Amino acid sequence: MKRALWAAMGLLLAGAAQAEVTLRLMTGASNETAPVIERLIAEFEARNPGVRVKLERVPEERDRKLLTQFAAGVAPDVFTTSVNTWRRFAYRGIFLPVDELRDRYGMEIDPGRWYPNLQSFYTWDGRLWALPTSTTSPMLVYYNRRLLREAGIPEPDGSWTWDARFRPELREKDFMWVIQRLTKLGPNGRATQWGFASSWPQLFADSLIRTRGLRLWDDDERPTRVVATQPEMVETMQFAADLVNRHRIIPSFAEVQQGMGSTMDNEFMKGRLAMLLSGSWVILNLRRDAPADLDWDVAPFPAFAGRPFEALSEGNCVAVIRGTRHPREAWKLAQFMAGEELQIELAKLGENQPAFRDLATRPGVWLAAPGDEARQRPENMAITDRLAMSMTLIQTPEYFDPVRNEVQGTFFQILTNRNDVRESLQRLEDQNNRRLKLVARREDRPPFPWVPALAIGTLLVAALAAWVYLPERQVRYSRRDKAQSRRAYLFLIPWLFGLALTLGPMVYSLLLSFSDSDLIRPARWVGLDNYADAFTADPLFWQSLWVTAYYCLLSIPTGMISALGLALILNQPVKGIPLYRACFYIPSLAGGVAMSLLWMQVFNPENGLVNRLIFGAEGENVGKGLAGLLSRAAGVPGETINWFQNEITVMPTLVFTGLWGAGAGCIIFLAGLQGINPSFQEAAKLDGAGVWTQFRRITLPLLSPTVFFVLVTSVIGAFQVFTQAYVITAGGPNNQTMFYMLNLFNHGFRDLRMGYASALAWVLFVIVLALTAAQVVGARRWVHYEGEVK
Amino acid sequence: MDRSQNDAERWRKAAARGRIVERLGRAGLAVVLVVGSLLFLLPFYVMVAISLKTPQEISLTSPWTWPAEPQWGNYVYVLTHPLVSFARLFLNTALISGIVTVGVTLSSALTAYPFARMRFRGRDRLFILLLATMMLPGAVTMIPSYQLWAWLRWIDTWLPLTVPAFLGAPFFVFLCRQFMLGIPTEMDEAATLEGAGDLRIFWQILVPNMKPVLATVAVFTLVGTWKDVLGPLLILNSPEKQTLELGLRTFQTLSRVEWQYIMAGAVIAVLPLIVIFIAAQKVFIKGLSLTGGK
Repeated sequence: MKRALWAAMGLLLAGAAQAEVTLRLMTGASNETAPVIERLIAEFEARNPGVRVKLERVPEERDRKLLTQFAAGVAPDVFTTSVNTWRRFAYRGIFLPVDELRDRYGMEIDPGRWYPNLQSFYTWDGRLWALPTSTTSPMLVYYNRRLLREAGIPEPDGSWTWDARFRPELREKDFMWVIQRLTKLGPNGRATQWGFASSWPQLFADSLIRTRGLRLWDDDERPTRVVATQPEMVETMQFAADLVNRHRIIPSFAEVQQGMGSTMDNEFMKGRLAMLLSGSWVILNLRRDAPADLDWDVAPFPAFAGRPFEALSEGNCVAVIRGTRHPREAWKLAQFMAGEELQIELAKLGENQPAFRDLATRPGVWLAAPGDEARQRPENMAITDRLAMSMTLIQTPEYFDPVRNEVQGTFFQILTNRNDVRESLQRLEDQNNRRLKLVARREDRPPFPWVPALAIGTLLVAALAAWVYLPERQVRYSRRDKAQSRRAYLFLIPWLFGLALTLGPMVYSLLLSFSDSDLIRPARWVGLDNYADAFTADPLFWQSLWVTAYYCLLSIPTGMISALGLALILNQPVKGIPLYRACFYIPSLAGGVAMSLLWMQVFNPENGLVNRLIFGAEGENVGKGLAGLLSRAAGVPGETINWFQNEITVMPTLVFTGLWGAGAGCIIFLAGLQGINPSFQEAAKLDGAGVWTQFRRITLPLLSPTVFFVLVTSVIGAFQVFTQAYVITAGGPNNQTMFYMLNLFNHGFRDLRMGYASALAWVLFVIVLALTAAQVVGARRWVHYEGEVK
Repeated sequence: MDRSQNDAERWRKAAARGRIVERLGRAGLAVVLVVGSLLFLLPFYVMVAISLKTPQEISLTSPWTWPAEPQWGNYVYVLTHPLVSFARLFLNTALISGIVTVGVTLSSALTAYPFARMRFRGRDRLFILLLATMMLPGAVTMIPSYQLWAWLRWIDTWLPLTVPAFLGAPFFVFLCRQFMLGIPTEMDEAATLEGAGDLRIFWQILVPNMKPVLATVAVFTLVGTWKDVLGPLLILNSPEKQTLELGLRTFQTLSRVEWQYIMAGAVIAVLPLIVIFIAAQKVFIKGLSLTGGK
């Protein structure tokens, strides 16, 4: 360790000797944009001798990585993020305000070139915090010109409006009427061509709400109440849900996304979707992937009849991180990232609509659909320009972010899971009015008393050591035993170091559980409030506990039995057994994306393997025999089952898919089985014991230490299960897969309430500890050890 | 006479029946193995199939179909990608996983030894502590640990990923202990009488008997380290220090929805593991023959 320290210092000194500044730039990129950014960064380095830029492309969880690095004092110098997320960093003082940098070092960028609304988008507390690099509204409607022509609908001229009902008398002026006309139903009532869809389901709901000028809370500046059930809101969401579920003219997200990772964008490219609502980044994909004969163009989302048009906003920005050791150079780099050259290059690719309005309206720079200049209509530029001008950003305080996340979740449920609209909105209102108490930061609380807390922490560790050692002092040891005891501790030295490395953070998290802390701003002392909130205020605490317990009850027995069964089979002396073992273990290796996609395909409600087997290719078996029984059991009599989105079937389905990971547990059992001396079984065989008796009387008792191990670790693992829910179901439907760890993760890392998340973790810790203790006590009755040392 | 003839007849019949049952059992077993293997291989098949398709094929055909004309070029594209150097990532991952695997296997077995075989002060309660450290979800200790690494100036080095591996992994200590407890003590007692020390007993008696479980620990650790994303994601910043799985994620975000490349990358990342697993099988078999022959 010391050597590493010296090496690090040496490196630092060497760096200083060359007088070279290395800036770390944390950003994302795509195959198309990355080479462009790299080329321009090289250009920047050439222009600024002595400055080197280290590009850190962070594939996922970029926000979390920045927060963690900042908390530990090792953050990068420059960071790119988006218009909808920059505030969580600015609130916490992670960014250096632009005003400050401008006053110190001057500013090359002329803010007058930005779209006028951008200045306010990046302002908080009277100061500007980031430089916009692009701006775009996700409310572009891409339409397939051929399909419109075929349906006899003239091309949109910007006079579309929508209303919360169909207005056939307006004909092509009514957006909803247009969607209806563009939908084609097949003989079985399923759509062969959809009229309209949005890239992600909430986008449609958000667009409707924004254009209608609705809010789900009382006040933007200081929201105190969620008001989700006002009549206009219910009417709008009911209409949106009906378009999906009753009129079937908008595909449900589940119907498309659960097909082979097909996205709405893909459906549009295939010509199965007439209109797609999305942002300008789709242009790049369309140019690259769409078949040459796809004739497409863009139009803005319609305004609500009689209301002024307001659009949702997206876009990227770049900021300088507080604490950078080279603020001047970092500021230079940030300005370069937000400067004209990069904006032009990325705009030419079709990736980003420039933040400079003059660039966004300059022909040859920003080709707003359909790609090449020859097919460009003059209106296109005007459309994206008008959208950018109509964008608004509704800024609410940071404490309200969790509520806004819940709003998105509720929209998703309503639009994909046929949840009752009024009921969902009512629940959103009730749960979040309770939650608001939970999310508000307790500014009025005293600062966290770190010194006494750390003293108590140290005392706790000392008490733990005493608890381990003291009772043993009474026990008389012979000299030989004493020597053995000392030797034992020699073996334990490495692990004791490891224990110290674990206990430290554990105690730290225990202390944190009595605080309100995001690990960045000074923590506040809240006493037992976090624990009280968990049991009384958190609407998902009991739900998540129940979900997790239910999962344990289902998954542990099935998982263990299948793993043991598999191990018994794979322990047979059959030719080629190593190959078979590898085959059974491969799903545990392949994992990840492939598995999720596969399962979504298998359980796809429309044409998935499972539903084809049960309900027939055309759903002709619905209501008959087993199919009818299953439908009734799933609470949807007379319909096919949407396995991952049905509240009743989702958990068994998850457990079932988990069986493909049995290969891992099987390996542990295999090791246990191979540790058994075969002479025992042979002896039993000679005594005439049957297969079952051999298993029951010989194999199982000898395997019991392994079984005990798998049981204990399965319980611990099941309580911490996270990935499946995070990847496949995101906690839905209706929080039926809101596992304990998912709830904890959402609080801790999405909402940055580490104090509360630590309290949740310690509640979990106590529960699992109690369960394990019970198992250890119970184990004395059934676990058989050959070589126990008393 | 009559009776013994009857008996012999009965025995013969029983033996014949036994053979038939045994044969049927074997046939059944073979069917189960083949069908099960195919079923378990399906996800991998889909991965490979998609990795060899054209984008048009992916959007138009069912994922279950095999590509009309396998696009091996997809693999060439991935392996020669200008921004993600798979060769480098492979080397890094192999090194890190190798070090961690050796470290975890060795330290876990060593730590398990006194818990299973020796009597010492505080043993049972220390063991409860060991179990307890597995019960606090890693998410909450992650940031404090990270702050510790930052304080040691270990961020963006391999040290936080490799050094803890030598300090015993509770899960595997527990596994090794359970396994050791299943090994009869007669042999170590005999060895003690002959004057063998703890290390010799551990090395010459327990380790040879523990081959299956050590192989299990090694395979699990290797796979876990190989596929770990969160650790390298938080710790490693420099592209040239990163691991295969992390590079794969970068590659995925770079490629967005180009499934053929994403899947080709995934196959490339997982293939070495499959090879290693099949090779590790030999250790399993060896372990079997060793325990069997004693």
